[in-house]
Amino acid sequence: MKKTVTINISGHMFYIDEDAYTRLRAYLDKIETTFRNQESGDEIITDIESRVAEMFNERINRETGVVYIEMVDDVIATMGEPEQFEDGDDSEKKTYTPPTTLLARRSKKRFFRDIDNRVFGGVCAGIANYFNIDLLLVRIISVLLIPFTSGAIILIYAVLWIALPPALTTAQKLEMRGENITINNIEKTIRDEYDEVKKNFSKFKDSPTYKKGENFFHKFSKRDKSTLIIIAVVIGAALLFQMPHFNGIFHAPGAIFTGFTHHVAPTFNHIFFPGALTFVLILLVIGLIFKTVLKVILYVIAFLLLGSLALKVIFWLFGGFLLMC
Amino acid sequence: MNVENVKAQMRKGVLEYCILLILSNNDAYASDIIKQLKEAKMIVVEGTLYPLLTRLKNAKLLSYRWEESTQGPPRKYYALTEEGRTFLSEMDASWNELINAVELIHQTNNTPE
Repeated sequence: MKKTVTINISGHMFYIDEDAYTRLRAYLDKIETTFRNQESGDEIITDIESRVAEMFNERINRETGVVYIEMVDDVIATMGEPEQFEDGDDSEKKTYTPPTTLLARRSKKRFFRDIDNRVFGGVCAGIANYFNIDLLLVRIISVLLIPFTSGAIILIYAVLWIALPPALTTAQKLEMRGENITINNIEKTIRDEYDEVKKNFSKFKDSPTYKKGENFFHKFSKRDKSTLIIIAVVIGAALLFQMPHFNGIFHAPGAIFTGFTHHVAPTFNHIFFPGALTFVLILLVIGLIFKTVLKVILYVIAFLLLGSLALKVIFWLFGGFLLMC
Repeated sequence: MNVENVKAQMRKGVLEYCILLILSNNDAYASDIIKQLKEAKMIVVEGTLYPLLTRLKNAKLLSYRWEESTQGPPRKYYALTEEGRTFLSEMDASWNELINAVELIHQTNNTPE
């Protein structure tokens, strides 16, 4: 048994086997990468696509109406790989080989947020990729830096989150890892991603969480999740206002530099002062009773703590500004 | 020096000329052109043609119109423009010159001693 997908090539609909689809997709992606940067590249791509559609029409079995992998291979062989295309104009030879010359020129590493390996914004993963160090190490150091810098690192994280672009396209992902952007690499990455998703999904489907999660998490659309996060931050802020001495923590503008010795004790005392601690405990108990919501509860707690820290940083900045005025 | 490379280079040079020649008699759409070129063993893979056609069109040597077909999506019919015809006649002339030149060299060097 094979799964079939429906595709539309230049206005024509085909039923195509999944394996055939993967191959065709990789091929057309390759064509697109080759011609995208050329003059009238779109037109060339459209022409090739409509010819592919035409060839499928010639080969398709009218009764079943399905495109098989053999047909795709046949069509690709007839059409040829982009490297096989003979180009008649020497002056355009340079644009003809974007995968090796044009793009490799900027194959230097660039700083991106790695949103595939993110916890919040993928900043840590981006740093790990850029400096080629272990992601876990970066995360641990970042978390340790929170008390050391009295929370200022969170602000820096936020700034990086806003400033750094996420690596969205395959080319950007390769650039992030400093790999050359060649067609072969892109093909490889796409195939890797496809396999990964396929593997994860089948694994996920088999796990008991799938059914449970289906019941519960489906109710949580993205918007609901952000609402929860916002509520958490609000609660965090509310708790903060209840705390005694909340002005006293960041009184020194130089907290970033003096760091640990001065500020670690109050920072943590503050958060785990009865109010917050009880709240967190209650949440944890709820989370443990209803295990399906545990993940969400953990998010809430994390945001509660981080939110109050972030607020402190903001107040500290404000205080600093006021002092300067 | 690779023989296949040189051959490909030679083919490349005359491919555009061949396309214009095919279109000089009647308009054709991409598959017709491909069929003729394949019969003449001028191209190996079809994909070669599309960038070329687009470039010739951008150089205003070709134009195209859409025509409905009985099977499948509408097809692009390519035709020579006036500029294309002038270009082709110039190519014809230089092609003949080239053949004569090669022929002449052949003869002078291959004459029995």
